[in-house]
Amino acid sequence: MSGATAGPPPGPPVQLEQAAAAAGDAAPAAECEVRGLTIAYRTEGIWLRAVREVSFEVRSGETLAIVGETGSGKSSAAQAIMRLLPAAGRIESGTVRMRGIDVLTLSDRGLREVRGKLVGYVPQQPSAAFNPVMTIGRQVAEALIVHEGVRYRDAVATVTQTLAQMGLEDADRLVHSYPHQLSGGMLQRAMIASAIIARPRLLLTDEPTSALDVSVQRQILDLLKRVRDDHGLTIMLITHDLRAVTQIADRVLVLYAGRKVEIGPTAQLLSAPRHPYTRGLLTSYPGAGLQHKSRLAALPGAPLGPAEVDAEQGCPFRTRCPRVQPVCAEHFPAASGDAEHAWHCHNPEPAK
Amino acid sequence: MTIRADDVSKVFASRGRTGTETHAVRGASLELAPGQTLGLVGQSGSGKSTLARIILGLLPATGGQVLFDGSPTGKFGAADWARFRREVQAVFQDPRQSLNWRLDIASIVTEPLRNYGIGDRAGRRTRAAELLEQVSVSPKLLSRRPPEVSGGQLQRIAIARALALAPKYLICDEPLSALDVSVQAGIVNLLLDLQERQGLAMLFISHDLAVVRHLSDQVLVMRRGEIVESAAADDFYQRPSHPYSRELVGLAAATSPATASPADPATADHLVQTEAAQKKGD
Repeated sequence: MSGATAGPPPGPPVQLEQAAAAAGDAAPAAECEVRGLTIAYRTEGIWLRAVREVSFEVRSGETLAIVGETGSGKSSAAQAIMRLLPAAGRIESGTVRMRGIDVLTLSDRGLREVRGKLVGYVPQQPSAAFNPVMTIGRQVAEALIVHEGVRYRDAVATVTQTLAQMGLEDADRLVHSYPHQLSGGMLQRAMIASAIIARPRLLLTDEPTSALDVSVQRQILDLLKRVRDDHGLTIMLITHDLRAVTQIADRVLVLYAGRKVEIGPTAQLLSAPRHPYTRGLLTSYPGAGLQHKSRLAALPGAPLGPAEVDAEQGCPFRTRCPRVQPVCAEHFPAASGDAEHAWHCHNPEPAK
Repeated sequence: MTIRADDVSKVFASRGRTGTETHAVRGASLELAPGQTLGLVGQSGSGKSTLARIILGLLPATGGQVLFDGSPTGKFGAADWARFRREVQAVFQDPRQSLNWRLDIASIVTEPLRNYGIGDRAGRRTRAAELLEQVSVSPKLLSRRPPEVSGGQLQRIAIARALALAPKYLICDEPLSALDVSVQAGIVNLLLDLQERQGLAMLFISHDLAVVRHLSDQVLVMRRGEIVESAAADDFYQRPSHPYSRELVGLAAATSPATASPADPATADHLVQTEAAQKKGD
């Protein structure tokens, strides 16, 4: 973890509950608050910004989906929130507050308290995230062992119960299984079990379904929904596929080339997107009512590469945008709309 | 001239001492006629890629046969394969993995021509630019290497390479799933254009039912190694007959934003059991 971010050296332990309580008075509604987050990566000696001035909050009890493609910065943003940026990445500016606690300046010890206890993390590929030579049970139990100091043998019952809650049959046996003995969908369930076992308030999931089959994807989303309702969890769900989250997300944040381009309640964003990129994502898929073999409303070009993202002064979507105007090259627009539905566009889609 | 798979099976023997067998493909038959697009849909592990690899001659079948123009490919010699590969080309899932990173784009696109001794160096260079134009990629990329090119562009380049020998058949195995959502539609349109302009026959393999249906004349559904349904694209969507097809159509509808509805717990439970059963069966 050391060297991963620009945080200060390890300091005294933080009393999370106190800090959270003190800060809680000031900002009660947000489980996690990100302000002006700018992240850069060093490539061949140069620092290139991959995320630029992104702000959003995750409200208590809601499910927020962060949607973006390659290079949108969605995973960087998630990693920054967990302080898990790779060594070549750094947070240039901005703040991340978790229930009022400034995550970016936490000591390593404070950080360990935050991870697992305040926020559970489900990484992108469960098959890669699990240790292949440790039993599922031991790995799922880890947060309990770290945070509550229990011994594994005392945690087994809780682990088995949690695995069963995740819809895994035969949990008694699975506890003693190794990752290769489980299917992708089962591994993802076990990963969610490990993320929530220490009862965090926020669950951060990075592409929880993209490696899975369509029907299994849906089961995992249903599971997340159930876990959210049973445990009163707040969920931040990162995905490349807007369609995949329509059933679970209360709100959707759309990122493009490191910029926040639109945020809004799911139904409104889907039925009346204001940013041309959001609209493009929705209309480029063969949906109901489209004539067989007709051409799709494809967006030209491709998402920007890292150097282009960094160099872009205006709107990064302008080279692919059907509604582009000269002003789009000049500067990235400020937010329009209101606190619920906001977009960054000089020439937005008309309101419906 | 057609490609036919006739009751094709593939059994993989496990390497362990247990001697268990995996039946990846069970008696699958299909026929790809000139100018036609067959869509093959199914989940991962259903055997679609294995079937494609058998059709392409990249894997031997353990039962049944593949007939190219009436002759079984199992008896093909080198000259037969050379003829076959001029007519049948493939596009794979992830161009970042299927293309040679050491070559520049011009060499990648014209490698099939070199292999067949077609044209001279200058002629191939011209042809490379033409091929890129066919797939709407700027000729400026000719001297680049794969790492310097975006995923969507690379998939177009992989398609250009597959077109170099002017084949009659294109086998596309999940050509969209490694690509960004916003570039997938462009590839779909390109494939539709190629069907129309060049009369290419296509076997289009994907887990995405909506895309398969949109592109295909005929939809085949594969499940656990078996082709469980075959229907004209429109019929399939409106009247899927196999229970599994109905499930697929239901899922596709449920995950499209226009018709998003609350999950049906009964279906979900059923699927959990299916998933567990599949794993046990492996």
